[in-house]
Amino acid sequence: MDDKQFEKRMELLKKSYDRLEPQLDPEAVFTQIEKENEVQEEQENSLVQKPPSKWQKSAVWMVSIASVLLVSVLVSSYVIQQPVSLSSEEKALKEDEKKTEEKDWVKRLTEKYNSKKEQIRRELSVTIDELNAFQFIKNADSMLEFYTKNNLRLQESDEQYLKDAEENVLNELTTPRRALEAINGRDLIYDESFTVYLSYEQSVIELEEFYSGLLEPFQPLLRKSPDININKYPELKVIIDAANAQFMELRRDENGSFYFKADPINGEYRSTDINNLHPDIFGYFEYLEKGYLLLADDLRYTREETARSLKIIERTLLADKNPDSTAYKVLRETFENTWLVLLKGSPKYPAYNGKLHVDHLNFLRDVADGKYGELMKKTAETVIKELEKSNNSTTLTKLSSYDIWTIILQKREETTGLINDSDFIIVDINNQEMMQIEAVYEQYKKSDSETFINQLRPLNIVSLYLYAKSIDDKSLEKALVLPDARLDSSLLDNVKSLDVVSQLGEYEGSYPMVAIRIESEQQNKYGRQFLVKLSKNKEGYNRISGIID
Amino acid sequence: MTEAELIAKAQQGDKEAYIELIRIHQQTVEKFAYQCGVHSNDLADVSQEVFVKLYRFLHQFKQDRFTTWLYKITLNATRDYYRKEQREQAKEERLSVERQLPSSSAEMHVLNFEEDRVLHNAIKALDEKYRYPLVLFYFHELKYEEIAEILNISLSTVKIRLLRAKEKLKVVLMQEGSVENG
Repeated sequence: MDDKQFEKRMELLKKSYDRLEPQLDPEAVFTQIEKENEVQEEQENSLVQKPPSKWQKSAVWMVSIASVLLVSVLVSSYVIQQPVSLSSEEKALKEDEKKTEEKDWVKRLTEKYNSKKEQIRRELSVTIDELNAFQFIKNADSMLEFYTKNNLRLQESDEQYLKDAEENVLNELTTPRRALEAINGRDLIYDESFTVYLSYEQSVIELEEFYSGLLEPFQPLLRKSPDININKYPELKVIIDAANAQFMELRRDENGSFYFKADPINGEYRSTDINNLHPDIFGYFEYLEKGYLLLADDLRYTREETARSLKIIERTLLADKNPDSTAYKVLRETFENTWLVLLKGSPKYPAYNGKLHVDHLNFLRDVADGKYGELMKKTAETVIKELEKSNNSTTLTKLSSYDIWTIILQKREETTGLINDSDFIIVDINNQEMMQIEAVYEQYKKSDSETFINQLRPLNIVSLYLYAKSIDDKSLEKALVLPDARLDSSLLDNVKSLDVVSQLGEYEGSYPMVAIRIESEQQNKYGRQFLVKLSKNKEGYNRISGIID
Repeated sequence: MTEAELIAKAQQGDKEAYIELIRIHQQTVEKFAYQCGVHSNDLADVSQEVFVKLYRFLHQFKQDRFTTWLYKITLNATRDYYRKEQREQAKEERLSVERQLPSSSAEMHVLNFEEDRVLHNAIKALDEKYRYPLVLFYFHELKYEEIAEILNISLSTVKIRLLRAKEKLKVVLMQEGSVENG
């Protein structure tokens, strides 16, 4: 996507936002203000009125003495007036106190922050200017500034807010080592492990680039003799020691140049805390360590290395419960695209060489045996069967990243329950919805069927398909399905009423897919959920192309 | 009456002037809150909180900084909303109550086009440090300096975050596009 396309999409979205209907009733603002004022007045009144009952007693007592002693009367009149003057003094005092507390908090936090920053500077063996130039430090500085200079927020603050703010600011100031040391020997659950990963990821790439850059003057020396005694070169030793402390080891690229790469899991300087992370998290670390697995259309690493990485990534893709995060999407995209290249072959590892390459067939067999994970096993088995039968595999030819994504979804359903709801627009199938589906059907009967269907959203196509099944309208069923689609709808054939469906969910993205969720009492008969895949027909309109149970 | 006059009158307690100010700015507040991730069903509540708070601080405003304050208050109100949402979610999870999901279908009434919804959700998924500058720059057409002041960050940080936000968003959009085409 180029900048122009991006700007255009943003412009269109801006126009849609500008069409937002106003929702607030300005009068309601005043109703709330007046209500709050009343409550405040009541509180203030009760504050002023309360003391008199106490003071009235004193007054009675003092007035009784006053009849005897004039001095006592004077004292009592002084005391009686006190509550009012005290209240305003107290207010001013409290405000001063609050301001002082805020100032103290800002001062304390800034001191803590600066002290931690100085420790980090020493840990990384950098100058203050170098430290301040790091983006991850700038981000932390901005956060400190945000919390300490945002007086408005402080005025509304409470203790918990200040505590959270302090934690946020100090946590933002970190290094790869500190991120992993935060594990501190505790066995972490997945979500905690993900937080550790995010903290680690925050600075590691930038530091790798920084230390690798510092190697520049030493490249000729290192190239000449990689096993030099670094103790003889104190400047180089400082760089290498500092990088090693962040789990980075010295590596050599294909051009012979040296660089640093962090590998806290398997590397020479690996972290001792790493085993306390939840094992499902390592896919993210693997991706961070390996970087892109593809370079142009080929593999960056060997086929076997790549497949091993994908096996680690697979575990994370199946376990992570937040598949709409950007990190997950990037990981999933890497998985899909890399498996495509692995299975279809690449210039370095061609699948065909006139006929099918023996190496490639052996690799497919390894995949089918589960050597590289569970997800692509079945696909590899099918491909091998097809190849053995006709020396050609339609599955392999037609395989797309979409298919791999569907495989992930299916497996996730088995292992983690329902597919993440946030990806779907959910409609409950209740009486009202059923009536609407019937109304859509009536409209369809009255209009040009093809044109009518062309206008329907995927969700409506599927609801109409289910309705057609329930009333046995074969011609509508046929019209809703792609002509050459081979559907296994045997389970849905038993649907005699929409009552068995609890929800329909349309995938909220560019993939046309609809989930059919079955009522819990009916799940023994129909299963828990079906996924209906839609594809464009020749005219470019959605039709049902697959059903996965 | 100019906005400056309205502010001055509202500062003196003129209710009608303040209501007029609300009418002028409510769309900005609602849009910004929505773009920051407030659900469309909650926009009226969040905006009401904003204008109630604004009223309480009205006497402190200098007229030239009115809009900046408005954005800052909205930002804080959306953060409070988030915290409340998170607490509610945590509570629901603890009680193992299945979450009701009218949200996604409700969004369809707000954004009519699939492409807009995809982009809106991608923006919502961005980390807030990237989301806020992006929203203020593209949808509110604020200058870098104004964004820096609202977010209490430096000018260079605004520029860097905008650049990164764009990169991150492009990755998501390309991914959506490539799968769509693939």
